[in-house]
Amino acid sequence: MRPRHPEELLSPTPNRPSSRAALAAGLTILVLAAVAPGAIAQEADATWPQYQGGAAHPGALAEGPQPPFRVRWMLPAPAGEALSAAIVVGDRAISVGSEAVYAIDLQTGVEETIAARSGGPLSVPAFATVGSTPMVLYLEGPEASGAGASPTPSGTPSPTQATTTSPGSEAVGPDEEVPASFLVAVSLEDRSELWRVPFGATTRSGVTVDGGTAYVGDQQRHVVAIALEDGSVVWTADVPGRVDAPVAVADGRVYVVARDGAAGQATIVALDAATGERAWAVVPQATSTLASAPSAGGGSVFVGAADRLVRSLAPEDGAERWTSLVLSFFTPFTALAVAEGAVYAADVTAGLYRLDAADGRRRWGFQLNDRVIRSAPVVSGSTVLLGLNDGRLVAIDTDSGHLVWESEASPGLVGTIALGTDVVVAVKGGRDAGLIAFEHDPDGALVDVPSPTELDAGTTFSRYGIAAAIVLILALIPGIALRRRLGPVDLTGGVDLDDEEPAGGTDEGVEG
Amino acid sequence: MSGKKRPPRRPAQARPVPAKRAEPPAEPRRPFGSALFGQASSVMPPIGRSLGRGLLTIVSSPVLVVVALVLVPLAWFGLLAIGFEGSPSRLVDVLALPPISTYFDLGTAVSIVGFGPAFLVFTGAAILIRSLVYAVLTGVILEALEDGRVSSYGVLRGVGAIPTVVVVQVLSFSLIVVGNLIFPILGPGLGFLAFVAALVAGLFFLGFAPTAAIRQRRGITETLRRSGRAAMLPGSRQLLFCTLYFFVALPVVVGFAPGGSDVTANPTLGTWIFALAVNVLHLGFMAALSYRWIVAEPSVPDQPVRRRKAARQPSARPRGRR
Repeated sequence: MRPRHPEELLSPTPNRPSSRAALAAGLTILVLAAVAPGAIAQEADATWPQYQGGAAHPGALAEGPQPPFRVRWMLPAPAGEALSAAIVVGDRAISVGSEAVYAIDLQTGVEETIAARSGGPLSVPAFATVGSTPMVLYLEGPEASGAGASPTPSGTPSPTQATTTSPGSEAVGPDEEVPASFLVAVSLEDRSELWRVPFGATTRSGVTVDGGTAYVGDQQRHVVAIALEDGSVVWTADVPGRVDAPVAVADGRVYVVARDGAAGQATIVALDAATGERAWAVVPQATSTLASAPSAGGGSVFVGAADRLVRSLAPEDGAERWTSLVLSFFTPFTALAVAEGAVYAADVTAGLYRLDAADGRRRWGFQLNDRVIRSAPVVSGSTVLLGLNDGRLVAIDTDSGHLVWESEASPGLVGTIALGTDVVVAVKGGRDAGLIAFEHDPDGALVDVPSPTELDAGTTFSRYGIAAAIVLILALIPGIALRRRLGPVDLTGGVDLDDEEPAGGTDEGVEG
Repeated sequence: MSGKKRPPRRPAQARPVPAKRAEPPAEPRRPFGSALFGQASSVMPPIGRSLGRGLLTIVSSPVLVVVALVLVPLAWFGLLAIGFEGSPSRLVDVLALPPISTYFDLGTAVSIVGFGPAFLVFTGAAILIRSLVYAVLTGVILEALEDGRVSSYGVLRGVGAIPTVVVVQVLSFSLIVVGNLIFPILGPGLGFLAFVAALVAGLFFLGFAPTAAIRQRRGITETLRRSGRAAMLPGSRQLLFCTLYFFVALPVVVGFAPGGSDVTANPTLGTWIFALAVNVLHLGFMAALSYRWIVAEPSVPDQPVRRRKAARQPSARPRGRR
């Protein structure tokens, strides 16, 4: 396979809102580069570089594609049973399969292998640029056989040269004889492995990148920060539960949802992004480990939990700013989208809600009457997109809360969504599980369907009237006829109380 | 019709207790499970006859049918007005008997306001409203059973039973809350069975209370005791009756409700027909309970029955003491 030049792989970002913004972004990049040599502005080259589009999981792309959509391509997993959620980098989507990491041409859906992979849970990769080197980071192992993956010789430098340690760091690093999994960095320039970091436990959180650091949580209650430049472990922090969802990073904090199955609770933990020290921890409820992945935006942290509450927490101390009740709970495989002063949440029964980020007031809700297990809402321009378990991708207008477009239901769910400027890439379940891409359909038609929870008085009263008439007739006509024939109810129960003979055993019905 | 000799018809009114019923000092030991499976000598009418007469009482009374047809949409639009979002399949248990109706109310409260102070406020209001409706319905059903008609007299009699019905509702609420706290300790399977058993037991012991309150006009405590004693009458089949009602009212009816769990404010025609018909059926069960009480009332003991450990007597017909 011909190695592709990074210029081919990474097209320039089409998002240039204004020259002033571009100038500001450029200055920011320069400043960051000066402060942290080797680190980078990965956002400049990728529309959707990691889970939910960014380290804070905003789940929004202002210049994203608009409905109506049509299917551009479908890609069954080349090997294994499925593909991970995708990220979008230039004109490629990148996804993790059980045996390889793939770059998929967004136009054609043709995939090529970036790197081989030795199994393990599928989780979302992340894209970053260190210096001039674009790289993809993904989690690997353990192998399906159950044996730990053997440490493959890695590029230099080795993670044994950890620059920083913190409590719990013994679970990660060279002391582990048989690492359970790895964080691997592969160059997108020449497909070479830059470095790999062994983990003592299985990792399924996916990778979050912020600045020059990658963050990964594992199944043995650790969150690890790794320097992108050399793969060294910056810090390791203990959290009160396993980490199944990508961590969010914003405002100098790392937000983690840690799930403790034994205690039956989920805990939202905030760590200092620089040191890994715990800033605060909040337990939303004490009876379930279910909670969404964290999202941050507008100076707040947002999490949906099993008590059906969406919470806004203060980054400083975890204080609860507001809660908003929705119809059902949230799975760990979803996240909230935060865009333009609004929070979009999708509960497990496919209720999609727009909440005011300032006070939690519900602006609208739309009940899609399905299931949302492995999808999260994303905001694409003026519509919210959501994948459903019945295979539909739906688009809801952010202002009206009305359904404006939906795809046909099909076998297999539509899962986590990634956005490009002209394409929607989503995980597809079912027999040919993999990825599915949608593009704007100029010949398609939009609809305007309100939520079924909005009362349609005319229709409902009409139906009720007809139903009442039917029940009235079906009940009363035979009832009155029977009463006339049988006479009044015998309140003796068919028993002569003065008679010593038992009479309760007979069942003659109503007397005539 | 069979050629059996029929008992003389009795006046349709609350009957005084016959003075000649001098009872033996103690009750003979009952066979295990007699309250479940019944025995031929029971004073309590069989389940089939009870249900038949209860349903006939309802469907032969235009007022009672219309009441069911009106209360269901009232409940639905009322719930929508206060922010309810849920499945119209809930409508099938609008007129259910407590504690199933209480279970319905708690689920609705959680759906609308979640847990917290507002939950208690909502539940309290629901208990009061439901007590009023349940008491008045029992009053008019009793009147329909006794006199074959429905009037304001039945309504007034029902209003008099509101305090007792409120206590019944509160006990049902407590039963469900405590059950939710305790039974999970037993594990998911056993805990669920214990919770179901608790709901059935609630209906078993409290089911006669509204009718007893209206007909006997005794204190709340005494009425509840008599309700329990009536349920425990030998061979009453009351446990079987309550179990049957429980499975009809929850898994069967809810499971077969058209529309399933779809959340909408606009029930389909099929959902409306099903919900209205099932609520007429609930009234039928309510009337059946009243009918069973009326028939068994003379045999309900005034005092708790002492059990004698002596060998079972050959008495063909156990009776309560007075």
